[in-house]
Amino acid sequence: MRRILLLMLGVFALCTQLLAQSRTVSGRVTDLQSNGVPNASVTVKGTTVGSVTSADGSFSLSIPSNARTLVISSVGFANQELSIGNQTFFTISLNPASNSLDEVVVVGYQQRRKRDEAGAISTVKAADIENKTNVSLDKALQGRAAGVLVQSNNGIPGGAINVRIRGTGSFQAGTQPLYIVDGVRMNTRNDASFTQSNPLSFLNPDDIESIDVLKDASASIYGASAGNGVVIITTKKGKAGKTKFQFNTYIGQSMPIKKLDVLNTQEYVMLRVEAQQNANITRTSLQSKNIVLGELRQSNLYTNEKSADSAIASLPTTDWQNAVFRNGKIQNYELSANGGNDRTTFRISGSYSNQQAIVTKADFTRGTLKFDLTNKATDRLNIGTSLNLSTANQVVPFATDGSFLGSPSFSSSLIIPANPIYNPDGSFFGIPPNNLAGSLNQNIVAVNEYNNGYNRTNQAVGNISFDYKFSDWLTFRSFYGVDYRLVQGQNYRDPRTPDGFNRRGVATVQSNWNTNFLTYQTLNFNRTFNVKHRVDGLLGVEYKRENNESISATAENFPSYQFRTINSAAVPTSTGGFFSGFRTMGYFGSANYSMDGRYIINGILRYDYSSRFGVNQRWGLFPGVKVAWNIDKENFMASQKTFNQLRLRASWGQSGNDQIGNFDGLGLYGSGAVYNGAAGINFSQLANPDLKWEVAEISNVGLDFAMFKSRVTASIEVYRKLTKDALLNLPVQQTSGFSSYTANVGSLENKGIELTIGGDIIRPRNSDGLKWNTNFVFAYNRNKVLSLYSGLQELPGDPSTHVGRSIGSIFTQRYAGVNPATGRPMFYDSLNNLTYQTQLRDRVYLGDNQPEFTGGWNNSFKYKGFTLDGFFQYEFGRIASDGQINFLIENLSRFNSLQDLYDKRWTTPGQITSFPRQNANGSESKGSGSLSGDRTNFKADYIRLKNITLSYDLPASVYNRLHLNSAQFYISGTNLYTFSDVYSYDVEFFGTATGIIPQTKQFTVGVQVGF
Amino acid sequence: MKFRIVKIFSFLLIGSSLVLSCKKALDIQPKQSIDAATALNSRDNVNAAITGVYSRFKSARLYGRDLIAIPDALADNGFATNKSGRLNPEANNNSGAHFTGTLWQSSYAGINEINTILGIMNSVSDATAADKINWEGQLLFLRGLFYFNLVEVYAYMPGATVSSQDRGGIPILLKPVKTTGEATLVLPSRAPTDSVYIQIVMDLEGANARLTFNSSSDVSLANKAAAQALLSRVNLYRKNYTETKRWADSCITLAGSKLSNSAGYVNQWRVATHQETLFQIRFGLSSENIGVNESLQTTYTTLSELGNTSKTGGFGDLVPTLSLLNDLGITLVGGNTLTNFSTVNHSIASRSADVRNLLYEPGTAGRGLRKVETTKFFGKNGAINLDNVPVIRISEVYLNRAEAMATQGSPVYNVTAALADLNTIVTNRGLPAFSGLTGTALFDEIFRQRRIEFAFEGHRFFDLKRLGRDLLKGPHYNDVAFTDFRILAPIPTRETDGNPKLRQNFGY
Repeated sequence: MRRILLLMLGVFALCTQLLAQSRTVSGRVTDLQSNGVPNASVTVKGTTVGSVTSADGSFSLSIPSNARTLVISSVGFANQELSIGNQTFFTISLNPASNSLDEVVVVGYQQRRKRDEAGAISTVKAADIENKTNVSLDKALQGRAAGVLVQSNNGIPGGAINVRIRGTGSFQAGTQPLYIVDGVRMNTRNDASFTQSNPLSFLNPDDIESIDVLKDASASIYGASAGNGVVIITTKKGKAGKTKFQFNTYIGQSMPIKKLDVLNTQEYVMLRVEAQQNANITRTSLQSKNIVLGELRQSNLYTNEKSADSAIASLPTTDWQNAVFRNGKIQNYELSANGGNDRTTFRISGSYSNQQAIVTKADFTRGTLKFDLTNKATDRLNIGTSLNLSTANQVVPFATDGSFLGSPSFSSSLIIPANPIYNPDGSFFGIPPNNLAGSLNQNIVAVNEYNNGYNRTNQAVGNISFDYKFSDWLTFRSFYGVDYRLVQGQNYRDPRTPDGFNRRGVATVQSNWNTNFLTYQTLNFNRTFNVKHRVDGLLGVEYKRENNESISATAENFPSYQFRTINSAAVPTSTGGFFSGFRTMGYFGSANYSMDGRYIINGILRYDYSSRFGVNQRWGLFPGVKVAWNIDKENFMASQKTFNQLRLRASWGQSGNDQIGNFDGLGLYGSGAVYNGAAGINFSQLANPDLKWEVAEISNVGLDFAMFKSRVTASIEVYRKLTKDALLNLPVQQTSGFSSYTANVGSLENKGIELTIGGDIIRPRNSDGLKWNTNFVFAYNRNKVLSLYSGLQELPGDPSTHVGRSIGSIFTQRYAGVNPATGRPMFYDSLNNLTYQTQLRDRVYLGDNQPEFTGGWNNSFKYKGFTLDGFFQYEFGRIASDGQINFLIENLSRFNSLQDLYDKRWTTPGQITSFPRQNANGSESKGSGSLSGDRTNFKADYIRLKNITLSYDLPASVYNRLHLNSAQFYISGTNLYTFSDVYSYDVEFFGTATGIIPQTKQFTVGVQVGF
Repeated sequence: MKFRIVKIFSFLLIGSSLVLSCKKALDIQPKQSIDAATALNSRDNVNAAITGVYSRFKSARLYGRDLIAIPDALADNGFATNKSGRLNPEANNNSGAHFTGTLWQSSYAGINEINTILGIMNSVSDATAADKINWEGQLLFLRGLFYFNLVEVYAYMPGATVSSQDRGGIPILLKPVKTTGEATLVLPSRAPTDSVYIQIVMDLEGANARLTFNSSSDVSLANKAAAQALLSRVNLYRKNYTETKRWADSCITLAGSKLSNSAGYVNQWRVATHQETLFQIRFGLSSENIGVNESLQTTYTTLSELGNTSKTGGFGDLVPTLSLLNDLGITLVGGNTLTNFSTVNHSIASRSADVRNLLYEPGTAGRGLRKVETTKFFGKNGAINLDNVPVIRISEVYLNRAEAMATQGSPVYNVTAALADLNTIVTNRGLPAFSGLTGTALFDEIFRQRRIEFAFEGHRFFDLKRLGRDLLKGPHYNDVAFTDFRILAPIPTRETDGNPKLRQNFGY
């Protein structure tokens, strides 16, 4: 090996010697702060003669005698040319790239300058992510990348985030994108049983250098798993030079965005009395009052109205929301160091962050350690490694969502307000063997205090890579990555709470580990012929295996509440455990040809295997083609000054969606059944040997331009994403013994336009002047179901999926308001007449739950050391229904209600309102429920002031005196104001929103010091 | 250059060898499941598959709750307290509030499993001939039970139909479905009701011929006495009184000694398996507990300890109506009036000598007004909410026979013998023997005893339905005429939508 290396070096030296007829020039390439820029290319203009700078930015180059101009280029900087003259030593300081096309994007297995890349790729940079309170990186994308919809369902720190790139691309298979962190394909399944644990929260978002989102044919390089788009995360790495430290901290508070305006006891009683009265007209008002007082467990034998009224008036009120909502502390500390020499660079960083939830019992604490190292073992061999260790501890809430009696986020707004929290002696009121009055009979404050549980996620994500340079143009890369995750949790239902009382305490534990190993080998080439023709690309093979295993146990009957681990329990209730996994493999290639930087064509092909598909269909082919025309390089553009950049792109490609169960194609007898003390098996699944991936076929046309010396930059994308062979649980007659099997049927499309426009509205003359930069992101997407199966117009029993309409369509009866004469809710029937009783035939299409317009708007003002960033995000066109609110506007008065219901309910004939009269029977006789049809639907449109950050950088004169390299102070606010008109705790939710811990408003102050 | 090429190839070799070694690494098999094609190739796995069929009956949509609680809610036995809201729509006989589609789905899934095992079991090499006879007997019994549950829910019963609304029985499937292709082709129509009953009788008679019974038989598994008892019920439902009597005679000869006397009766409801049980669905392990929302205990009572009205357990969603309290011989303090029933915390003023009313007592006031509740299901397997569910008891066989002999026009009409059977029951329940009862009075008393004996055991609605009687639900609810479409459950819409040959029941 060594001999070969020496020999090859010799050959190389010989070649260099041949060229070295003339003279040698040398120099150093730096950034504006005089730090050396490594790996910058220094070439003689019009030739292939050139060199690359070393770690400290220095270079040395033999140039032909006729050389006149040097061209210096480096990733992230603007190209620079300078005439050589007689000079032999040059100090060249590079300006940062002023326009986006000079930036680098990470595409599959490669980095490429945006100018040379023809795909539709959105990039989010570190500066947009840093020092925000996002726990996971997916949330950081919100509003920043056009066409990437990010929705947070709730405010559990580290909770689930919904991300969709260019619309919903599947009926029933997964719709989340593929995440790749430093080359490792991540598993993003939530494995926590007792809370939501977002696997992407393993990484401190402040360790991210950039996020690139592949939205078009570019994704084809990832084949069968890229149909929902690909999000590539690149973390920060070390830079050669003196070791630099950075310390960063912020602390702050999160608080409820709002509390719901609910009734006091007297208002509640009035509603309930009305409801009882309306339910049974033969009752006297006094009887109704006595009934309601009885329900509240008050004495109820009043014989006259006056005494009953004064009893009602003396009842206390408790707003349980005040007891369960609180302000949560936020703290975050980070320390990093990076540096190295021309052979070795490193970066280490550690972080600790803690976020308390606003509803107690959902706190999040995380520690991370990250280590990156690159070493130039020889001139040809580069070794790199990157390792991220994290441990996240989450306190387990009673429930993450849903209508659970003991869940504080569900019950706090609904418990009848006459219930106090404490007895006069300070002990809890209404705990077992007693309980609260009303159906929501659990003292959630006590339940919340007595129960406990945790979820701990330990995760190691790392990789090592070897890059061997065969020649200037050919490199071999061998890459190995691991994503190991251990999720452990425990949940305890205290015997003093209703759920644990009769079972004398119940404890459940789980342990779930996911091992994900990946390797790829690529051969990268990059060669220029005759100056004009550049060819680059790669060939590769990738293999990934993933195993997921779990054990769990439940035990009950504890000696007392002081014993909380399953070891102490008398009765082991159940145990569980499972194994699952899948294997993938792919051969892939990508080739780019660029002529003169003007015409670019890129072809992609991947041949992919996945064990998830049917035995006949496990291999699939995924092609992609991209072309770009850099118009600004054309001669005819030379004379104009308006556009300093102008380019047109087009692409077409296919990729696959494999987000189904690991064994959905197999015919199975499943275990788990138990009868009479014996274990049984059931015929659980029919085999579909022809089950294959769902095809996402994306066509994209894009236009990028920069005008007036890059004062205005913009990208416009138009796309159509066609989903074919859609994965669907194809229903069969249940008389067959089965309900469905997974098959490829039907198709749908997403069409849309994306616009990213930005620029400097005010550009300073000197570096101290006022700078105003703005960036506006807009995306429009329209979803349409194109076909189902067997000529069906809609899925059986599911009219929300209907041919010709958007997925998630709302098909229901229209609410027509309240009959002013009777107070009863009315609906429109199929003939547009008013009716009390809705029929199935009265249903009409009333929009859908898919957002149409989404995006964000960032403004950044800079003056001297001050920077003010303001970021808005918006979403329009989605119809939603909030399950929590639906409980609060029931007409039975079983629970507490919204003030608006109280104020606007029908009480007197002739009254025009949309809130029907109260009725303890629920539905009026021969009438539909008051929440039927579209009564509960609303437009979930909003514009939100997502973030404002004001920061101040100390001037160099000050920080130098303090022996620092930099110092910044900042204050930041998140979710500060929302322009929206909904009852909900928060408008951003997706899903049903019942009982979720709402999103929060946050304020932080921080300091960042470099030394 | 040459060396470079050598090196490139050596790297490629490393890469491709890795890929080749992956070939094996590409395959992965599930561990909690096995390939359906070879799953039933051993004795152990066939036994496990039969256990799997039994386990389907534990679903809350079958014997876990619905088949036991819904018939009493739909009929005149159960008043829904609305304490959790469950069974309130069923007690109100709201349109569509009936047995759910899961009953249909689980039953046919079980039927296909049975058909699959029946089709393959003869090729299991390590099974003995005795194994195969026993397997066949159990599977035929279970298939008969599945079809009987389906047909009594979704179709009118022979001799009690509203012919203008009668859309027939239910689909009969006897061939295994093992591939997606076969599943897609299953588009059955409803077989005539009589054909379904004939199929059920064939299955149960087949089971009777193959199964055995003795005093130590496990009544949690299909057995000969259970098959005969069920045959007496099925034949009573289809009004074949000769066969009802024939199978009842045979069953009583085999297992008549299991009848409990009045001294032991109440205690039999406090032990895991009631002595009278001929077949039950067993819920033995704590992991099989249906839990705090839907178990029969939580459905029927708020109590967690007998007599302890200060400790609230379940919801107590379905409690006896006034008319049932009257039949049980229970008088509330303040009298059995609607006002008293619905506005006052219940307490019991007096009871008749009928020991069966000792299975009823006031619950707690923890979830609203205290009601008299049944304690038939009371965590008898050692944990709250964990009860075995009797499917058929020997006392029913006596009453089946009595009714067959007391029905006017019956070929086996025999007032004396019918009265003797009736008295066998009542005297074993603490009541004096009846004398001189004949005609309608005799029939009515037998029918009334049936109501008392099997209250909250899932009989009442089907008993009224098989005789074409209206549901007289006053004073709690509006009556439902037998001609009302709500007597039949809706067939799951997804089934009728996807199969034009399958006719939905009238009115849905």
